[in-house]
Amino acid sequence: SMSEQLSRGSPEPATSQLVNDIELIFKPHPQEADADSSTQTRYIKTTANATVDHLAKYLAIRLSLDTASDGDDDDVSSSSKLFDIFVGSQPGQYVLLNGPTSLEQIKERYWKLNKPLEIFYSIRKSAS
Amino acid sequence: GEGGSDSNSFPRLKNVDRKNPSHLSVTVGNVTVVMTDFQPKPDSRLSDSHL
Repeated sequence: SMSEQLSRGSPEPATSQLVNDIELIFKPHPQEADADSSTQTRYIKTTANATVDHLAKYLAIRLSLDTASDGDDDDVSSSSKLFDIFVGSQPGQYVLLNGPTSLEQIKERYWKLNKPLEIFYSIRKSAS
Repeated sequence: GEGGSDSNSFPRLKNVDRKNPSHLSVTVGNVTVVMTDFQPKPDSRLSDSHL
Protein backbone atom coordinates (compact mmCIF):
# COMPACT_ATOMS: atom_id res chain seq x y z
CA SER A 1 0.00 0.00 0.00
CA MET A 2 1.34 3.36 -0.94
CA SER A 3 0.49 5.70 1.85
CA GLU A 4 2.89 8.52 1.55
CA GLN A 5 2.35 11.36 3.88
CA LEU A 6 3.43 14.75 2.68
CA SER A 7 3.20 17.41 5.29
CA ARG A 8 4.30 20.31 3.20
CA GLY A 9 1.06 22.09 2.65
CA SER A 10 0.14 25.21 4.46
CA PRO A 11 -1.16 24.47 7.92
CA GLU A 12 -4.90 24.61 8.05
CA PRO A 13 -7.10 24.98 11.06
CA ALA A 14 -7.94 21.42 11.88
CA THR A 15 -11.62 20.90 12.27
CA SER A 16 -12.37 17.41 11.09
CA GLN A 17 -8.93 15.98 10.64
CA LEU A 18 -7.98 12.93 12.58
CA VAL A 19 -4.99 13.47 14.75
CA ASN A 20 -3.05 10.73 16.38
CA ASP A 21 -2.41 10.69 20.04
CA ILE A 22 1.17 10.78 21.13
CA GLU A 23 2.39 9.85 24.55
CA LEU A 24 5.64 11.29 25.74
CA ILE A 25 7.91 11.63 28.70
CA PHE A 26 8.81 15.18 29.54
CA LYS A 27 11.74 15.75 31.82
CA PRO A 28 14.45 18.21 32.73
CA HIS A 29 17.54 18.34 30.60
CA PRO A 30 20.11 16.17 32.37
CA GLN A 31 22.66 18.92 32.20
CA GLU A 32 20.49 21.25 34.23
CA ALA A 33 22.31 21.60 37.50
CA ASP A 34 19.34 21.91 39.81
CA ALA A 35 17.07 19.55 37.95
CA ASP A 36 15.57 16.79 39.99
CA SER A 37 14.27 14.56 37.27
CA SER A 38 12.65 12.12 39.63
CA THR A 39 10.13 14.68 40.82
CA GLN A 40 9.88 16.81 37.73
CA THR A 41 9.35 14.13 35.12
CA ARG A 42 5.91 14.40 33.57
CA TYR A 43 4.00 11.78 31.64
CA ILE A 44 1.85 13.33 28.98
CA LYS A 45 -0.57 12.30 26.32
CA THR A 46 -1.48 14.82 23.67
CA THR A 47 -2.15 15.00 19.97
CA ALA A 48 0.44 14.79 17.22
CA ASN A 49 -0.30 18.32 16.06
CA ALA A 50 0.94 19.79 19.33
CA THR A 51 4.06 21.84 18.83
CA VAL A 52 7.15 22.64 20.83
CA ASP A 53 5.50 25.95 21.68
CA HIS A 54 2.57 24.07 23.17
CA LEU A 55 4.95 22.05 25.31
CA ALA A 56 6.77 25.14 26.51
CA LYS A 57 3.53 26.89 27.35
CA TYR A 58 2.16 23.82 29.07
CA LEU A 59 5.30 23.72 31.17
CA ALA A 60 5.05 27.38 32.06
CA ILE A 61 1.46 26.92 33.15
CA ARG A 62 2.26 23.80 35.14
CA LEU A 63 5.18 25.35 36.92
CA SER A 64 3.26 28.49 37.69
CA LEU A 65 0.52 26.34 39.20
CA ASP A 66 3.01 24.42 41.24
CA THR A 67 4.68 27.52 42.58
CA ALA A 68 1.67 29.78 42.62
CA SER A 69 2.25 30.85 46.20
CA ASP A 70 5.54 32.62 45.72
CA GLY A 71 4.46 34.15 42.49
CA ASP A 72 6.62 36.90 41.22
CA ASP A 73 5.79 35.94 37.70
CA ASP A 74 2.80 37.86 36.55
CA ASP A 75 2.38 36.69 33.00
CA VAL A 76 2.37 33.04 32.08
CA SER A 77 2.14 33.64 28.38
CA SER A 78 5.34 35.63 28.27
CA SER A 79 7.20 33.09 30.34
CA SER A 80 6.52 30.41 27.77
CA LYS A 81 9.57 31.73 25.99
CA LEU A 82 11.74 30.81 28.92
CA PHE A 83 12.14 27.16 28.09
CA ASP A 84 14.35 25.41 25.62
CA ILE A 85 12.92 22.13 24.38
CA PHE A 86 15.10 19.26 23.22
CA VAL A 87 14.66 15.79 21.84
CA GLY A 88 17.16 13.09 22.65
CA SER A 89 18.08 11.87 19.20
CA GLN A 90 20.85 9.61 20.36
CA PRO A 91 22.08 8.72 23.82
CA GLY A 92 23.68 11.78 25.31
CA GLN A 93 22.85 13.94 22.35
CA TYR A 94 20.11 16.53 22.48
CA VAL A 95 18.71 18.53 19.63
CA LEU A 96 17.22 21.94 20.32
CA LEU A 97 13.80 22.21 18.71
CA ASN A 98 12.11 25.16 17.07
CA GLY A 99 8.82 26.38 18.46
CA PRO A 100 6.61 25.57 15.46
CA THR A 101 7.84 21.97 15.17
CA SER A 102 5.04 19.50 15.81
CA LEU A 103 5.36 16.26 17.71
CA GLU A 104 4.57 14.43 14.51
CA GLN A 105 7.58 16.05 12.86
CA ILE A 106 9.78 15.38 15.85
CA LYS A 107 8.84 11.75 15.73
CA GLU A 108 9.52 11.46 12.01
CA ARG A 109 12.82 13.30 12.05
CA TYR A 110 14.44 12.28 15.27
CA TRP A 111 12.74 9.41 16.99
CA LYS A 112 13.37 6.00 15.51
CA LEU A 113 13.00 4.02 18.70
CA ASN A 114 10.03 1.87 19.50
CA LYS A 115 9.34 3.51 22.81
CA PRO A 116 7.60 6.67 23.93
CA LEU A 117 9.05 9.94 22.82
CA GLU A 118 11.33 11.60 25.35
CA ILE A 119 11.41 15.37 25.44
CA PHE A 120 13.73 17.43 27.60
CA TYR A 121 13.38 20.98 28.79
CA SER A 122 15.74 23.47 30.30
CA ILE A 123 14.99 26.84 31.76
CA ARG A 124 16.58 29.61 29.80
CA LYS A 125 18.49 31.63 32.31
CA SER A 126 18.76 34.95 30.52
CA ALA A 127 15.31 36.44 30.46
CA SER A 128 14.80 39.84 29.02
CA GLY B 1 -7.41 -4.09 1.17
CA GLU B 2 -8.16 -1.04 3.19
CA GLY B 3 -7.51 -2.38 6.60
CA GLY B 4 -6.41 0.59 8.63
CA SER B 5 -3.00 -0.60 9.56
CA ASP B 6 -1.77 2.33 11.54
CA SER B 7 1.94 2.64 11.01
CA ASN B 8 1.86 5.84 12.99
CA SER B 9 0.78 4.30 16.22
CA PHE B 10 2.99 5.29 19.04
CA PRO B 11 4.18 3.24 21.95
CA ARG B 12 2.21 3.90 25.07
CA LEU B 13 3.70 4.97 28.32
CA LYS B 14 4.36 2.29 30.86
CA ASN B 15 4.22 2.61 34.59
CA VAL B 16 1.72 5.41 34.63
CA ASP B 17 -1.54 5.61 36.48
CA ARG B 18 -4.24 6.14 33.88
CA LYS B 19 -7.04 6.35 36.37
CA ASN B 20 -6.54 9.90 37.51
CA PRO B 21 -5.35 12.00 34.60
CA SER B 22 -5.44 15.74 34.69
CA HIS B 23 -6.16 17.73 31.58
CA LEU B 24 -4.88 21.09 30.54
CA SER B 25 -5.78 22.93 27.37
CA VAL B 26 -2.95 24.87 25.81
CA THR B 27 -3.50 27.37 23.02
CA VAL B 28 -0.74 28.71 20.83
CA GLY B 29 -1.81 30.91 17.97
CA ASN B 30 -5.14 29.44 16.89
CA VAL B 31 -4.34 25.86 17.71
CA THR B 32 -5.55 24.38 20.97
CA VAL B 33 -4.37 21.02 22.16
CA VAL B 34 -5.23 19.12 25.30
CA MET B 35 -2.38 17.81 27.38
CA THR B 36 -3.29 14.85 29.52
CA ASP B 37 -1.04 14.48 32.50
CA PHE B 38 -0.56 11.07 34.12
CA GLN B 39 0.94 10.38 37.48
CA PRO B 40 3.68 7.78 37.56
CA LYS B 41 2.85 4.55 39.25
CA PRO B 42 4.86 3.95 42.37
CA ASP B 43 7.65 1.56 41.60
CA SER B 44 6.81 -1.52 43.59
CA ARG B 45 10.45 -2.45 43.93
CA LEU B 46 11.38 0.83 45.53
CA SER B 47 8.30 1.63 47.51
CA ASP B 48 8.80 -0.25 50.72
CA SER B 49 8.01 2.12 53.55
CA HIS B 50 9.47 5.20 52.01
CA LEU B 51 7.23 7.41 54.07
